[in-house]
Amino acid sequence: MIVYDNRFDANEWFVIVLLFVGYAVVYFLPRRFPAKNAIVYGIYGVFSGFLFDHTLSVSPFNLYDVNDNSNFQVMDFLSYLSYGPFSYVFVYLFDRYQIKPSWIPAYILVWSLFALGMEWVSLQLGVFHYRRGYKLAYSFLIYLIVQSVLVRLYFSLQKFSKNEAITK
Amino acid sequence: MTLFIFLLIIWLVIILIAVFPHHLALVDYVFLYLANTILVVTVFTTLMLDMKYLAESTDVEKSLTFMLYRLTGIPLLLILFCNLWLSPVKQAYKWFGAVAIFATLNLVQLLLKGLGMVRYVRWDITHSLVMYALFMAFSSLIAWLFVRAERREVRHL
Repeated sequence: MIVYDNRFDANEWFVIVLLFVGYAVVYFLPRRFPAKNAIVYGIYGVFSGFLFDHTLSVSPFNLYDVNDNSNFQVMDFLSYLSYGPFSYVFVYLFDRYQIKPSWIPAYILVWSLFALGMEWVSLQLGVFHYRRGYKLAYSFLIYLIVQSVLVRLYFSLQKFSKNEAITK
Repeated sequence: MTLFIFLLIIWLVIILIAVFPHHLALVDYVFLYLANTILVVTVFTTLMLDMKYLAESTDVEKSLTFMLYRLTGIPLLLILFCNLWLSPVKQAYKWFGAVAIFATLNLVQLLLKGLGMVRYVRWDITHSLVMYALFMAFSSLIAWLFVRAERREVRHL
């Protein structure tokens, strides 16, 4: 096990603040989606955090570690939970401003750059520790893919909800 | 070879999901896949990385195949179970299906061990039986709660 830090410091506070602010934003935003869809949009962010961190940061890749050591800690779990509000707000603004299909790549790019910025801050505060030559730029590809899939998921669920409403 | 065997298993599960009558909505399936995957990867990572109960192979193909099975095979088998468990079929069919899926999960676990993809350090078959039973119980509980979320919402409106 690799230990980076043993204290409750910047990385832990960053995760906790992000978690509280993120879920507070979600709570105070006006309701826009059916409950089930809203849950799926939120949990998608948590899922993508788990998916990539539990594939890229474990054997055989071991490309980075999260928080104080290379084991899986409660703070790691909380940091994945903090991704939830981001995916919800992503879809919320997408739906709120009715992004036109021709502007979808630009919308995804802006959010991916924002995510990259957040990751850079996390890196400085010790939330992530890159190994084996992993670079911030590699995460850019992941953000582009994750957000493209989320847009696809949004359209599928919207279409499904409309069909269901017509059937009822 | 391990990759081929497990891709075959995963694809057979996908065929079963496609063939069986769908009793859940698309949004339910998406939610169940996301939630089950989070559950499965969290438990396996904790068992392997923190508790050291299980150890995965150092062979790249075996390690990747096991990862693929954790991310797709187990969550999809749990979805198959939830679809059956929440369907309006007879209770006997539900239990028969549940036992069949439970047996499949445990047989594949034995296959993982047999093919050297996972090594039991402080683990035995009893632990596997309990773990998969809990996976199925938890999965059916969250599926039940999620399906009811819409009904509660309709009542509130």
